[in-house]
Amino acid sequence: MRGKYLYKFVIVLLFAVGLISFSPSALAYGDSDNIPSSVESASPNAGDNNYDSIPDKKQSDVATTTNPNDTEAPDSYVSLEITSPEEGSNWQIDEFNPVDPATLPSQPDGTVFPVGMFDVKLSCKQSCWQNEVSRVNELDSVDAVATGDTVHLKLIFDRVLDTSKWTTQKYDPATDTYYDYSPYVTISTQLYGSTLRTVLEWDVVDGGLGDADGVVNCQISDPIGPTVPIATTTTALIVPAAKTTVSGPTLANTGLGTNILISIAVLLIAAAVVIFPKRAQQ
Amino acid sequence: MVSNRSRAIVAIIFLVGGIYVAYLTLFAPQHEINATSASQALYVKSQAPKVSDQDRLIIPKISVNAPINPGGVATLENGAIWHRQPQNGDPASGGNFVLAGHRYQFATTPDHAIKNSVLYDLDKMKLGDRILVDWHKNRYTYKVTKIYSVKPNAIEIEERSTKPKMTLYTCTLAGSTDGRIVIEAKL
Repeated sequence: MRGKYLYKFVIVLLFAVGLISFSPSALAYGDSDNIPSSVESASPNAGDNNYDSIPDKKQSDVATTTNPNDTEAPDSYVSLEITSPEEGSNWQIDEFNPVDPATLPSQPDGTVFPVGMFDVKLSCKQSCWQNEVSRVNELDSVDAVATGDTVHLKLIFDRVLDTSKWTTQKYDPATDTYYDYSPYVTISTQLYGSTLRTVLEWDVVDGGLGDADGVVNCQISDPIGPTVPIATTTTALIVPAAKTTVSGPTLANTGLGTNILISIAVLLIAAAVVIFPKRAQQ
Repeated sequence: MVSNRSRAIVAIIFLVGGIYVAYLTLFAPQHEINATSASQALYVKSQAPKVSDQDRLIIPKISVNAPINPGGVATLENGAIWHRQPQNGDPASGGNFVLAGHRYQFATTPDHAIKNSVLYDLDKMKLGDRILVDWHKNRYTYKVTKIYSVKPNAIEIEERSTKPKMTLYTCTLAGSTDGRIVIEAKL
């Protein structure tokens, strides 16, 4: 009887270990956006902050994180959503990081960022890239302007903000300058579940409007953030001198750890040894 | 009551499964090592005898011949190399030519394991080893000048440089949250 329970226990244990640790990276991040699943799961609506009935941690076109640069509510949540790529669902979010503008080499004169800036990096899959290349080659051959896909983005805050004096700034890291992107941004109040929220929407074009790298390369880099004039700010809107972000930019994720797989292999072999000899001898 | 026969079958499945996972993790991703200059020359002669139309990274020492894609992390699939921060440099225009590839990706077959884990043997590179790059139908030869490790947030290694160089990196075997092995090479 003891052997029977041991046998069952080993099987259950192995299944549990396998389920939990077989893909540690996938479990930790869930999707492509480099935001830990634990952060996305803790967002409003049980981890589905954009109310599309799919947990944000499982969507590579939705990223949700906390925004420590929100001067009114440093523990607030903000989501980025890709809503209408031209090439189906080929675009994904690689990075979505709140950025404290004070950490950048310069800041625009006479304004502050009430909710900080956001470093957005998108990419498309290989098939999408190949489509882009062939389309660009086609356009080049007829002297048209060669640009890549247009991607529509939504920045969803978790509440209604006073946007009456907002102007949306883009940052160009190559020249360390800011420029006003407001003409291309729509600010609205939308209903999510039973909560009204402020939403920013804009288009970026790979290699064109809004893409910081300016190259049709299946990558879109889009540092963006709303500002308000200093004269109109309240105390709550002043950016603190020193702040830290929840998750900073990192190098490319280039592989899984092997330790966990080796552990699984050892466990399987050990389980086989434990089960096999004693039972077979009876 | 589970019969001895059933237990034996489950035990054998566990044993075979364990050995197979260990093989896929420890042995299958290993590329052939060409330790001598003669064997490296032979590798180039057989695997990359002429300049490819497609941008490619060729490392004769560890038998790597992989396409270079400018896209995002998704283009690392199937053993491709990611040209990171294209605005910071490439072989033709100078600056810092930043490349990244997978060290280890789990696969269900040995063939996929070796293909997906394209830079599994990057730690076997030494100073002075050659790296070839086919870039826009020209071939460039780099020589390794520096090998070191960094934390995952060491994004300064991707910054543009005044002198032309290649920065090639991949994860450690402990995974992407542990760190990166970095190789710098010069033309």
